[in-house]
Amino acid sequence: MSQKEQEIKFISGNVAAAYAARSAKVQVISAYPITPQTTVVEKLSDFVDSGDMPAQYIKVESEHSVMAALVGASIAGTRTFSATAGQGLLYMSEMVHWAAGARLPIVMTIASRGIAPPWNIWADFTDVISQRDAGWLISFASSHQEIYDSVLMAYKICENEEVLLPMFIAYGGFVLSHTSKPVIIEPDDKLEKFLPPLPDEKGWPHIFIDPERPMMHGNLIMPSGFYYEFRMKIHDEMMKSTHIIKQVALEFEKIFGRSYGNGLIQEYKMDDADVVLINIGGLALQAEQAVDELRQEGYKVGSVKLRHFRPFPIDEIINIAKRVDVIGVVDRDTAFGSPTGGAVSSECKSALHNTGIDTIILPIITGIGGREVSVEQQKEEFKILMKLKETGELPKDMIHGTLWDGVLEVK
Amino acid sequence: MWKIIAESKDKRPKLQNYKNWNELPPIPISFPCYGSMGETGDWRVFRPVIDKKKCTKCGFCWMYCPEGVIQKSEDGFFTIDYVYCKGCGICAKECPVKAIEMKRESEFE
Amino acid sequence: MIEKKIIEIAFHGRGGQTAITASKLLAEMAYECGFKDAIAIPIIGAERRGAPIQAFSKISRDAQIRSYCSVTDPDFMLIFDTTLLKIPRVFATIKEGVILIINSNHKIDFNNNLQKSVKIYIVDATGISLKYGLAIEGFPILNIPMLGAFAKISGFYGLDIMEKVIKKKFGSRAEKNMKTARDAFETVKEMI
Repeated sequence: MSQKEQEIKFISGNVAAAYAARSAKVQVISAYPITPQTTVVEKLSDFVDSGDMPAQYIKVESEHSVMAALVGASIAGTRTFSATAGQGLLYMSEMVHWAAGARLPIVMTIASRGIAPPWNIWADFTDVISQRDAGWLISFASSHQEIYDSVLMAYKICENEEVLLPMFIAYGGFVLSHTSKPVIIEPDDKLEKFLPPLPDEKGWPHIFIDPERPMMHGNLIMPSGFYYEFRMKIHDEMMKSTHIIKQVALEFEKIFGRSYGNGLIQEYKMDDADVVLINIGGLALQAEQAVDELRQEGYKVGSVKLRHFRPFPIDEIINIAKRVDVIGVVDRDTAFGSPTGGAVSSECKSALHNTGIDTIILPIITGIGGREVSVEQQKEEFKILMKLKETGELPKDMIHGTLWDGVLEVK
Repeated sequence: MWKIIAESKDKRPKLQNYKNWNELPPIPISFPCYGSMGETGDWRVFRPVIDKKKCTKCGFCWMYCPEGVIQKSEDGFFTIDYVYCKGCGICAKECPVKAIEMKRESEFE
Repeated sequence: MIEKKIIEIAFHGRGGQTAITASKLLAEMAYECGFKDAIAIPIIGAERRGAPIQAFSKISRDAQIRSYCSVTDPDFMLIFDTTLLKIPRVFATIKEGVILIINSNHKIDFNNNLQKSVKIYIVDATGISLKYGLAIEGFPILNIPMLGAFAKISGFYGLDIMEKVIKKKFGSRAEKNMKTARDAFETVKEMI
């Protein structure tokens, strides 16, 4: 069904993701229910069943088949969507790599949850981070509206002929998936202006299923063939996609009036900030409240929302480091055995290497497995950064160079 | 450059035409064409030869040939394209009346 | 300061008493009647019928709500079942100045354990639901009468807004729901 006028709906993050797929005129959906993503599947099947969304819903028996079905549907030249979480994403992993290798612009939302064992269903981005090297663009949404908006932007980025890669949009399970807020659902005329046209009968230019033009894909390439070069191309085009992401964010702002920074990162009160906290997902938005409260107390603090983890915004991180003395990088994920124990902080440190910038980076890990992170706790994190700036003193209870903030202590 | 692959059969670039990785299409694909691996006839060390006197025109050799190099001719007998035949011997093995003999290539030099 | 602009409501119920739906409906009704922003935060675990459930709503007339964390210092508390008051972590959040709305058909004795600034209202939500047959398999649904009582006590939204939202959500079942809301609106009273 078409959406004539803008509508504000009071919905959960999951339902916002489903509405986004409807707004993006997705043609083929395949998804398998898993907590905390289940309500995305429920809403989408509602849409398809009621005729509200003229899409094919392919029912399958597992997440692995979900992505296999979408790979087929996308090769045939359709706009495709799925959603999953945690163990489901891990089970899908083989086909996740396949989608990127075949350069298919599939978009999937992830209601991130902790990885078992021990069993956990609450916010933790380790699931999506584990697919870091698959060749998918990885973005994080920090609000219900951003989930909706990110899906729309994703199709425009992914279907660009210079990109042609799939994209994850991750948000914290329950933190965003099950909380409800007002979300603007955009009308068709505006959407038409923004979204790329749906692929025509000929499908994508690089891969297609057409009896008139038979082709074979998925061939074996010998070590002496171009396998190496094709991998290099994925990296090259992923890195170059930063320009497309920026361009799309600008265009989005122009048409819909909602700003997401430069698309890769979004700064908050950074102009005169001495210290800054970089966050992913919902905690990034909550950190803005912590900034406001601390500024009233006279602290010059700023916050940065990292919207894209892949491609990693190297230039933006360097630019931030040039302006502040101390950066706290907060991971709501674990990267066991990595230099900092968290994926984002390791990469921020790596981005500054050999730049001659001596800004201190304090890696922080927090909120693992849905452990609640309050505004007060974030304010404390800022205060630790201020102390580090003033005295050069690192917090005492760090483990392997990282502050694990919010660890339980029984008194 | 890679975008024309979808357009026309004649305009498709051949693998050898790519000078460097920049020119490659986003993914490796191949189109059906004659002998994509080159003239594989020179891989052959034994040559299958059909004895027309024994042949019953059953078509087993044509059906079993993994490379599709056996064709039916107008008189109903089958001929083998030695430019591409690798000499695998499957036709000789499958022939129900043993009408195909594998002869050493050196006999034909 | 910024915190104060945001009104926080805590819901304590048992699995099946529809406390989570209540938190969502309350936030939606507040947004519907002109509040600038609202969020409903359910605390979801592996709960089953009867397990203690928590949910929160944060509503604000003029500020954007940016926090997703649970409420530790609520302005209002809606207690769906008096047995919940015996749980220490529920009781511990009854702080100074909080307004309690409790589902009960009798006066509750707190043995002077509460601060004087705590205001207590009681409404017999269970009785009202059973009276109008608002139940699933004999288990009364309490969210609508509790929200009806909240409408009266808080004055944030009227029964008209409630009717609008409930009609949108429940369609033909709205009428029965509204009867319980009206009854609760009229019968909720301060416990003295």
